[in-house]
Amino acid sequence: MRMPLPFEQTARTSADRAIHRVAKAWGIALVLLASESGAWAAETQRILPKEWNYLDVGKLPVLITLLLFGAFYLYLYRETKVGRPMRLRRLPGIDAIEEAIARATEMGRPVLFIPGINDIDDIQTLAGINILSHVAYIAAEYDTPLIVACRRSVVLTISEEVVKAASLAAGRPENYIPNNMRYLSDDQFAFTAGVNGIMLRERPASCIYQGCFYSESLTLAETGSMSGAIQVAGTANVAQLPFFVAACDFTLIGEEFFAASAYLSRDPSVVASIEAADRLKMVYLIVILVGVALATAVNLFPSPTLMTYLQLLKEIF
Amino acid sequence: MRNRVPVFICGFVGIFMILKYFSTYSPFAKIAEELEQWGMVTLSFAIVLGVLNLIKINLKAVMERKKDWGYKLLLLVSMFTMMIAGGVKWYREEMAGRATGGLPVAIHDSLFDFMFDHVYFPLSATIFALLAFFVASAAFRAFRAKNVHATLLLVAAVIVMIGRVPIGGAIWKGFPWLQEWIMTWPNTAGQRAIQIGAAIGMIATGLRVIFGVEKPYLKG
Repeated sequence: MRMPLPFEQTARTSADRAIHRVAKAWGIALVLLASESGAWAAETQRILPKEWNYLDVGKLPVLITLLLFGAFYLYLYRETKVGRPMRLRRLPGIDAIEEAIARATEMGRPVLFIPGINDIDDIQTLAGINILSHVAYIAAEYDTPLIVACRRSVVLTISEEVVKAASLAAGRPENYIPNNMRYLSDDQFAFTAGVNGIMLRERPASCIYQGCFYSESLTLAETGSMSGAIQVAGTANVAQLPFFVAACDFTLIGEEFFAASAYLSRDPSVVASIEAADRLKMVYLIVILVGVALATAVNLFPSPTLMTYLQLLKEIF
Repeated sequence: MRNRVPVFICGFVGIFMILKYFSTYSPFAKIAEELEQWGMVTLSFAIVLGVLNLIKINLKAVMERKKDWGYKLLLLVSMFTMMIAGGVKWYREEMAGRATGGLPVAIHDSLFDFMFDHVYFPLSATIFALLAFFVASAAFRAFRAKNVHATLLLVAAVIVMIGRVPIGGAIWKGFPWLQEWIMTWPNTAGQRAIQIGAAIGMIATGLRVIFGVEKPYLKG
């Protein structure tokens, strides 16, 4: 039979007691389960201090991530203000967009852009629209027609404004062609069929997919590939990435897709957020390595203290 | 002013969504739910803009007898037929509901249901089914052993494919175990790395939008 023991009764060293105080401050009570056979297991119980009554403690890891990101961002933003240069690595997928538009210009054919299939409340759609602004600017500079196919009417309205503004900024307002801004259908496969129709009838020389895609991703990318278009895709949907990698010439994978706007704009306040995200990743890398080391140690040398540390790490991150 | 009001609205709504997510304090949840309702109402109004865009572009192409105008005419006819059939169905259900004293009545023998079940649904399934052929053609291209990376991909893919079918175990008992190992360890590790990067990217982009550092919705 297992007997639950509060951690403070089993804490032997001052380090153990310090960990217990940290855990208590986070609203976590550590409990060790002792069995007659002498085996130990660590468990945690949620005990909320009164002043934390309004906080959903189950979401603590996300809150910690947000706070860490905010702290890194504020620090790096101040650094950019005092002139510290921020460096971004090359993203071949973004560089390829300009080549794709140049190819369309040489061939005298349009460029097709799809800002994903989700509505404007999806962060991937917003990231896609950021890239659309850049694509529309280059297309206007090169005097190449740009077709934008949308599945949601709000996305269409915003895309119209974005393309109009980018064409104006490039000094070619006539490059904005209202008939090339197309709402096809709210239905996923009707939209897919509509885009395939545009690819096969109007033969765009370049197809750019940037946003959230689901099962239609391969149908779109394969049809584009068969029509001979150069294709650049970007999404954060892990399940669709293999399809885009297989069928497209360049693919922005996950974080690269979100870093694209910083890469394109070079705005220090946006670039600082990319570096803040990189630092956050370093923190998580360290946490993962510590977790792996602790889990291995618990496996090799089972001890109540190590189990408790591991459990605490799981609770906080 | 033209720029400040949307940024304020975005920040105000975004902060309440964050508070709703992290807090158990009920007034935050109520305000956030109310704001979500407003968003849904606004989005449903926007469908009119989409329909108008569809009519404008396709009608113009039909009137000017542009290339492939027949498809565009078919699209317009289909759209209006479904709209009218849907309206007739709604009217019949309303009338039947009134006759039963206000109880909701569902009619399933309407023209709308017939077209949905026998035209729209099979067409939608057909487009989805095309995926099987596209998977084959994409796999054929991706699995060409052009360099070391492509060869590794090809070897891993062959092991996973063979290990997942009964004949794999019959050829060599180690195939099912090997494919399970590839899927559980290297594949999961790679996917999680991408997921962690994408999640942090989403948080960064979300905060940039909420606090007005980046305004993709205002680029016009």
